[in-house]
Amino acid sequence: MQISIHPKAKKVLMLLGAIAIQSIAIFAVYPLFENSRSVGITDTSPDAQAAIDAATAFYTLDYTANPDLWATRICALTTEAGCRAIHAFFAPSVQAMVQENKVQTGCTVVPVRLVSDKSHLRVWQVSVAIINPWQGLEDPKQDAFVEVENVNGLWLMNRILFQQEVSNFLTPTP
Amino acid sequence: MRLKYCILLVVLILASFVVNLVAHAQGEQPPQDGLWGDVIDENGNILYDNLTDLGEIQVDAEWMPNVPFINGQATYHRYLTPSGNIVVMPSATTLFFMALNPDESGFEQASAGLGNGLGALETMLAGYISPADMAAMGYSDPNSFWQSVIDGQTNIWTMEVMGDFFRDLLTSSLADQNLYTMLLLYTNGNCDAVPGGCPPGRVLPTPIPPSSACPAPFIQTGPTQVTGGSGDGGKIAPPNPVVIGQDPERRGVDVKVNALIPPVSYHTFETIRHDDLVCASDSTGLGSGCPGHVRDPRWKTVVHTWYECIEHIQVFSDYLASAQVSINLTPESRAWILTDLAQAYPGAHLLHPDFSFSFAGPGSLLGDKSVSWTTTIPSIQTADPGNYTTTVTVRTTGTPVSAPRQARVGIGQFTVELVQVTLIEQP
Repeated sequence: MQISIHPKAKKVLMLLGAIAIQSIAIFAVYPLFENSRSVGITDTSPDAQAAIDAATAFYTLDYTANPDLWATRICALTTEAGCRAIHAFFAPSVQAMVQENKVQTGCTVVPVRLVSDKSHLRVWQVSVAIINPWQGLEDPKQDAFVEVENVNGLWLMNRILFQQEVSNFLTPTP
Repeated sequence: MRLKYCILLVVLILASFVVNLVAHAQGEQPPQDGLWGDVIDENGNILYDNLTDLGEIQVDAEWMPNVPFINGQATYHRYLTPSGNIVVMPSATTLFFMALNPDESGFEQASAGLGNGLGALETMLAGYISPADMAAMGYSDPNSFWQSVIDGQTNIWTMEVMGDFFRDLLTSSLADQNLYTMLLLYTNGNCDAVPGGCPPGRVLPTPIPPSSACPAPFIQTGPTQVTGGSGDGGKIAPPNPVVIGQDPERRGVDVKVNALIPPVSYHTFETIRHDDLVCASDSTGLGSGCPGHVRDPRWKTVVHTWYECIEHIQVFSDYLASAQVSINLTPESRAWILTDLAQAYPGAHLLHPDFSFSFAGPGSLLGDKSVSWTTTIPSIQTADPGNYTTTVTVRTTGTPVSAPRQARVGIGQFTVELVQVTLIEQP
């Protein structure tokens, strides 16, 4: 038996299918972000927004979640090199801390200022406030320095700079 | 960027040559220094088949860089050598910061390896910090520059090139997750210095425990018990036997013998080594902390080794191999027959003074693994009057842990009567 579908009906079905898949994906992913709020300020530049989104993903932590999910979410907002650094360097440290402290938190990220601008490579200072601080965390609000890179017109995070690196930005230039 | 990445890879490959050279140099030293002998062959290849993979570990390290809210962690792959040494392969990123902080990271305390952080820093940062950069900072001698970096007099973090370097470093460390550029070797027992400490339970090869740690194996058993029937000498019937020559029924004597062979217990002691991780104060102030004093540099974790003796008892049955029952007229009775009786009855002599009966095993196994054996010898044709001794000889088969045993036990005497006629003169 052969079933023939009218081309228009086929398009409608495909459209409905795509909508259904999108809906499922949104409902599946939404809970991960429900504690996190990226603060989009008026006229936020794309590079600042990239830094905000990436930092938000970076500090949205859940010890009950699949460890790979954390890196996967961030990698959607990073450059290829940034994703590799997340997997190779940051993921072990973050997972160790998250598991040790049973961390389950989102964060609020507010852009502070652009501290370095090399055209396609910029560093944004953002203020990160942990919504559900874990025991032992002395200061739930700290500044992070997020390096973003423009890749084919899209701003993506390279990495969050090490604390030791940011002295250049903290010391006022005479 | 691509150029620097390529340079970094080349540098890392070169660095691995440095390892080989170092290892090779170590291997050429006398046996005492032949630490690398079971790690790297003469061609500089790592002998993975020789090594026990202790896996990769991440440990909190204050000397590793950190980002807000997240402490820095060092990553190592560690291997145990057949001689109990621990080979540590830091990840490329970890290695860089170890070299930058050689004291805090334990880099300087490695028993063998690069020796100091100068070479590592210079190797890894080649292509990023040029002699011209150093000269601009007032250093004519590269070694002075790197030493200054290690000593904290020159702040390497403020250098603009470091951003590119870290980006490449972190990326390249993923390009090959097993890209390890240097080997550090920590000798057996040097747990405090090993990054991450000694892994519990499987660190050091088990040393031979002190000879006094546990008792030596020993065997325990009891004597073979031999008993007879209810009467003396094992006799069970008749109550008053007479020589068969005077008994029209030639009844003789019934003798019963019992033997009980106790089992053999073999006691052995299993020596179990315990390596307990305990807290100890660290007078150097560089301790890695311990449970209850997490990350407290005044404390460190040390291994307390002690031995537990667990006794194992195996019980073996010792079966009967053979038994012999000897019934013999006593020497006194023999003399009496040949003297006194011969005077009354001229021609009296010994007819059958000795009896011997042989039996085979194995006997019957009892619940406690003892072996029991019983026999009754009926109608022993005792022709000579007097006292008879009964002697039982028991031989066992032995056990896997003990030799065959023999027991010879006398179970007493019984008497065989002679009815004598006394002539009485009539008045």
